[in-house]
Amino acid sequence: MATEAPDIEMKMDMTPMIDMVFQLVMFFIISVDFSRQELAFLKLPHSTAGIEDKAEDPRRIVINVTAPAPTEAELKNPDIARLWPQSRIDQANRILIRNKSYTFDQLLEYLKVRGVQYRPDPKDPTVAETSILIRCDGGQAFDLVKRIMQVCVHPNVRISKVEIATAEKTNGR
Amino acid sequence: MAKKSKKRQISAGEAQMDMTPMIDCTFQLIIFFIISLRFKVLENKLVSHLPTNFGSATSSQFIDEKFLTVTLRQRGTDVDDRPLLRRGTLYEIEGQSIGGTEDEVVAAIDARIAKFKTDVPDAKGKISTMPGVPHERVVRILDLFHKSGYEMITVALGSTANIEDPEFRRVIGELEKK
Repeated sequence: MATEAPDIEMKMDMTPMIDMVFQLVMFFIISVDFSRQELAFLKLPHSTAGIEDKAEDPRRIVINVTAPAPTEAELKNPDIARLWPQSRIDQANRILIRNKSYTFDQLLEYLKVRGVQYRPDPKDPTVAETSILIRCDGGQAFDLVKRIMQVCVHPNVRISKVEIATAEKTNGR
Repeated sequence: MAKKSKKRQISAGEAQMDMTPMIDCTFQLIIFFIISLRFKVLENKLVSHLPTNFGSATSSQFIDEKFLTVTLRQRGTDVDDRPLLRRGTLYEIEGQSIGGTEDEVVAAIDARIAKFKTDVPDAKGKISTMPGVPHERVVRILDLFHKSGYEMITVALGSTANIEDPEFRRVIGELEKK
């Protein structure tokens, strides 16, 4: 008869695993970039004269303007329809701030409470301290950017610091 | 003595730590990292200062020989997956239209902008856009002005089109037929 191994009470040491999990959880928390929530997926226009955006002002408002949707006639073309699933069409022609869609009237109300009345610039109280970054898809009509600028110069808003986001120009373009 | 007793204990129990859960967990997390990793794309920006006086400046203020005006109009066709960019843009400098391919036109505008800056050191740029001109093409002209060292570039905020407006869509549709 084979002799059975004596029963030994074995306990696994969980400490290294827990250590490691905590380390990774901490790494996640530290490295997660919440600012990305502000950035919609867009094809930004290219520029050579643009300066690097370091996003130094945490109070800066980022306004995203998404691409225009094709017309119904254009969608009959299978090549265009393939590039434009319904989910993409739903996101077209939108003004987004932190993933929330705004009309121009709503944008005006949103900017009023961040404008000159509530946040005047200490150096020049006639304008707002707030700055704005407009991230507009290169294929979108410039009219939308102009209308955002018109909202910015509204007497109750008066935000003068406006930046236009661009992508760095590569050799290929 | 103490050393001897310790040796005996290890050989009797032969307890080894099971590394499997830790490795499992590590791999799960590594996979999650790889899937969710998105490299940060550095973006640039063109800084501008909107007028601090109420409203926009009137067009009469631009009747000034120090201004070089580039006008953009939208029509024609080209190929892209984005609707407005499928239509070509007409460029004008001081009312004179510039012909050629998109790159040729941009090169010609670049040369004119640079020459004007050489002739008039305190030259100012003005960009006037008609409804429907893509943002990308306006930024391209803005870029040319910046590159040539213009310190003041104005954008006419005058007439704008509402892209959601059915009338605007109808006009764009008619332009396409042409």
